[in-house]
Amino acid sequence: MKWFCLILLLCYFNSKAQYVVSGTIYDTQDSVGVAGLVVSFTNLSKFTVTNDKGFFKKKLKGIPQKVIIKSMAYETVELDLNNIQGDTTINIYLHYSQKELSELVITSNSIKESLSNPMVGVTKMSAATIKKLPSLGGEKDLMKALMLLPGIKSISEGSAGMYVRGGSPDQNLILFNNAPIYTSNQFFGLLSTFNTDAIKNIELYKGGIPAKYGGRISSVLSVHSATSKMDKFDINGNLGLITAKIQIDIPIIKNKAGILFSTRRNYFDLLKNRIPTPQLKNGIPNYHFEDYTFDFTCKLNTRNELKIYSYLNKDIWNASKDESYGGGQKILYKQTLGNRIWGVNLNSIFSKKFQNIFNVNSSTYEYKVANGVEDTFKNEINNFRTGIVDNSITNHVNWFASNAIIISAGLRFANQKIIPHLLDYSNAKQEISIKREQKSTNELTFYNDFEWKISSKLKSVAGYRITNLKNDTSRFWIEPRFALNFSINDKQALKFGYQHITQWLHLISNPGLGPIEDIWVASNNKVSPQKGFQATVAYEREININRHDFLLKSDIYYKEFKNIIAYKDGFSSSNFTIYSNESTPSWESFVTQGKGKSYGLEFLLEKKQGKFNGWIGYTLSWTKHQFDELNNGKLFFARYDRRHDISVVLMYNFNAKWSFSTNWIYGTGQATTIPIQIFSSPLFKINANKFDSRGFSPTYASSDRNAYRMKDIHRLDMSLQRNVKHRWGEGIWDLSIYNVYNRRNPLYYYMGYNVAKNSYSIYSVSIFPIIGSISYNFRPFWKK
Amino acid sequence: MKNKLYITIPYLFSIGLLIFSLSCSRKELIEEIQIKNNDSKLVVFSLITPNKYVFVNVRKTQPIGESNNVNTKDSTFDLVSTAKVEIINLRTKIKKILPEIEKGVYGVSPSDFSVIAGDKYALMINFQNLSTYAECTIPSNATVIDTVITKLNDVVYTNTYDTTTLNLSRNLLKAKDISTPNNVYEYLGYSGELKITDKYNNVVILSASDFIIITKQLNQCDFSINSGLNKNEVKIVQSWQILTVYPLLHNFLKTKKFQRNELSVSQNSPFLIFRGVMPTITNIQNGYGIFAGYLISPPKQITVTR
Repeated sequence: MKWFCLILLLCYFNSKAQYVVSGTIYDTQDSVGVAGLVVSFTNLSKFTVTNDKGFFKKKLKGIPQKVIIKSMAYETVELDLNNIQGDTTINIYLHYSQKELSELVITSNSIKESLSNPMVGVTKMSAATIKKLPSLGGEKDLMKALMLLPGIKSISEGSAGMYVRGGSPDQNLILFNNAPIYTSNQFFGLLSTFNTDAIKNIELYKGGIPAKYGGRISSVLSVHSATSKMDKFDINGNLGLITAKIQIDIPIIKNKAGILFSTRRNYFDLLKNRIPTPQLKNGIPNYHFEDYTFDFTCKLNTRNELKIYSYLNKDIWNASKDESYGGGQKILYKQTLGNRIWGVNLNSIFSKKFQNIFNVNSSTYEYKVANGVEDTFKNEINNFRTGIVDNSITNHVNWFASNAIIISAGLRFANQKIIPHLLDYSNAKQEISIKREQKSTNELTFYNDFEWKISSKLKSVAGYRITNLKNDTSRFWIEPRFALNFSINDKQALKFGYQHITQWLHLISNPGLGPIEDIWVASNNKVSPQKGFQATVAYEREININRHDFLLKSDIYYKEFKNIIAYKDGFSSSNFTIYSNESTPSWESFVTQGKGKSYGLEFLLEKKQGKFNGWIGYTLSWTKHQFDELNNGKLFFARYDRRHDISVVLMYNFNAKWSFSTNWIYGTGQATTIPIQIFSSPLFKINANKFDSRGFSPTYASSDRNAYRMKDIHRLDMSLQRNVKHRWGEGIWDLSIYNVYNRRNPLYYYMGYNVAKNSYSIYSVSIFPIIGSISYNFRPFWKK
Repeated sequence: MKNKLYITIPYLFSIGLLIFSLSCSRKELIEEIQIKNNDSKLVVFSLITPNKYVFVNVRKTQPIGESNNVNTKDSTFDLVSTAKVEIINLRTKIKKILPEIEKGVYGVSPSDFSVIAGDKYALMINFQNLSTYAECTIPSNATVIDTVITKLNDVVYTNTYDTTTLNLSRNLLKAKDISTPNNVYEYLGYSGELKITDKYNNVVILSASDFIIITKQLNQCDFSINSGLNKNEVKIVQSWQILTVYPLLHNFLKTKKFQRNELSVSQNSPFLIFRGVMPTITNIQNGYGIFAGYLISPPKQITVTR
């Protein structure tokens, strides 16, 4: 039996001519309501769509005979309703479809669900969609898939750092099963930390953020891990040019408990070690990353489900170089970063009206940098480390108060300990330790969302979030949220969203060149929390062209940021990571706070179903910052200000074996600060009170902050996939071509000396020419 | 048509390998960028103080990317001749056009143009279609120090660069700023021969390599002298001169030193490249450089005994 359904309650109310059928549809794997499912009443030609909690309700004239729930992600369910004699409430559990390896499965939210969802700026995407897109080096990446959507951008080509509607990466709350992740990048910032095989689906809120999420002012990315199917042992893996992955699904008790374990490893270091020439090997950095995801899910009974999960990742980059054999130096540079997450989730359905979700989790982020130079005269090593330990406990309740009202509320307590910015400096004769400590933070939050279907055309969600924060100071704030959906008719909706959010964590990022060295700091009595305000107006419309359904979404947004953080001119992460005998001031003296605003328009035309699907996205936006201590107090464009951004994604499923996808992107060049003039700077002779004309000391003058634009970015990628069947199982070959027409998109600019011209010039560095890759996804022992 | 799609797996694999091998070529991944609308500007260096010649060093910037924009052998290549350089005392309205006394250097003697403490001056330079304007004020009072040296204790200092160990006598210099004792905006500098390190706060407060380095207010100084003294040895440090300057000049010089250091460091390793935004400090309108005033204290002799 491929599906089963469980009717928990069948309520009877007498009604003269009209019947109201309502209920909630759950995913059997995690007992979480499934949004966007079309619920059809066959004989009456009526349908409705589940909301984001899986709830649906339909007033019908006449007795429905059969209800059908169809979805490409789940097995189809048909329920016979012939015997009902009044208003009816049904709860249904769905099984996740097991077809995703062999068939094209696009399960982004349906058009109807999008039109009926009161929240604005919500995007949902399944792992299956991500796996269909072209990849860099054969590694399908969640963040890169998201960046093909309007309003979500990377700072430069290849980067996995996510900038949502003009917000910086630290303004995105990234959750893995409700546990926060403090670094979502690895592989030099080119890949996200998420193993696509270990993901079931994701939700991204960029406009209307529900009250249950807080602490970040730009967006929330909620990643749900895949869980065991609990019916039979399964194993699948992937071999690509960058990584190898394997996933094992072990049922413990059939259809009641199971373990899913996934792991991924990059093997750059193993390939490097194969290089026979020591001199050549010495110049190549040693690098690898690895991650592990564990999920144990157990259905304790029909109403309670327990989930225990864990995630671990490590990214190690050792760029040390030994040239001491030639009388040169030993240069040390080693960077290690990683996340460790574990959590327990208990999902309970107390009654047809109450659902309770209890979650405990711990997330640890650690970042280390070691650098130094050793030669005949020096022997200096700097060891820097920092991080965050975040422990939290949350209880969340969904109360389906009536067919028109859903109330959700929760209480969350979190303790965040900032691992001190600890710098150990040593040379041959002395050791110095500098510790910049921050007190641990206790955060108590109560939140409440009130979803009200005011009429058949009008829905609203009003919410608030109250937070009390204590570290070396005590703060209290309230964050109001509001969303409204006005259905013009069945095919058109007008939406409005408004939110105020406070963020007490800051990520200080280098504004210049070099490796990524981001450092988290907490607000204290010297550094104020960030505050964000956003208002969005959206219009959504279902369009039918030649019997094909399209969804047109257009959003206008305006955002304001206060107390955003940046390094002062002349400061960088080196002030944390490298010892200087000139000063050891507090980190607060390195940074300055300012404000910003971002506004723009987003358009999305999307075809979600059928053999041929995909989307076209366009964003027109402005992002500006103002800091009293930067750029002489003048307004300047943020580095990630992107005037125009276009993405076109097309996917075609030829047949059961072959599928093809392609994407083309275009983005206005990154705003940057570059040296523009050079001159000789003479030495001053105090006795003569005169600058000496002799002696050359080149000095350069930079442009105003971010006054120049790098070259525009555009690129075409393609992917061809072929499903193959073997006696031992199934597999998919994936051939991807990244940057098909070999566009030299800039990664960064630098100033260098041109010998031929005898001049200092600005150079653009691009590291991604046309790159072909092939990967193989295999699933032994599997027969459809 | 459909059959054409059913290419064999080995063929697919070969295409993949071919494209991957093509992508290994790093040729032309770095390209020079032309900067548009980037015109040269004048660069002016002039520090003025009473009773000394006024010198103005005038140069022209070279746009980044333009051929021969550096000359490591001849630093006079960007000096500007035949510029019109005029200085004005904004209080007395006395003007003086400075003649060019050597290539790119314009000057006037104290007998022809007086620089007076507390007065404000303007400097105007015109050259071809370029012009600059700058103002500065001479500090009203020179910082005069009255020193008291107290021996505190002996400390061991390890030199960072040659790893030698020195036994130092740690002394407390109590200095009184007679001119502006409460002026926190005043910065003090030093011109001398020795490097003096505030070991206990890990701050280099004075350095011979730069003619001005930030100090704390002198009346708070607590430092050791980086020249080990043997027991009962007496060290006489001669010719101390304290400069009184405004923060702009201090910041300009500090940035100049910082930029020079960072350019030098980043040559050692690409991983030590400066990752921030290099500040550009100037008070020359429509140009670069510095026009500032300073006062200098009389030479002071300090005796340190261990």
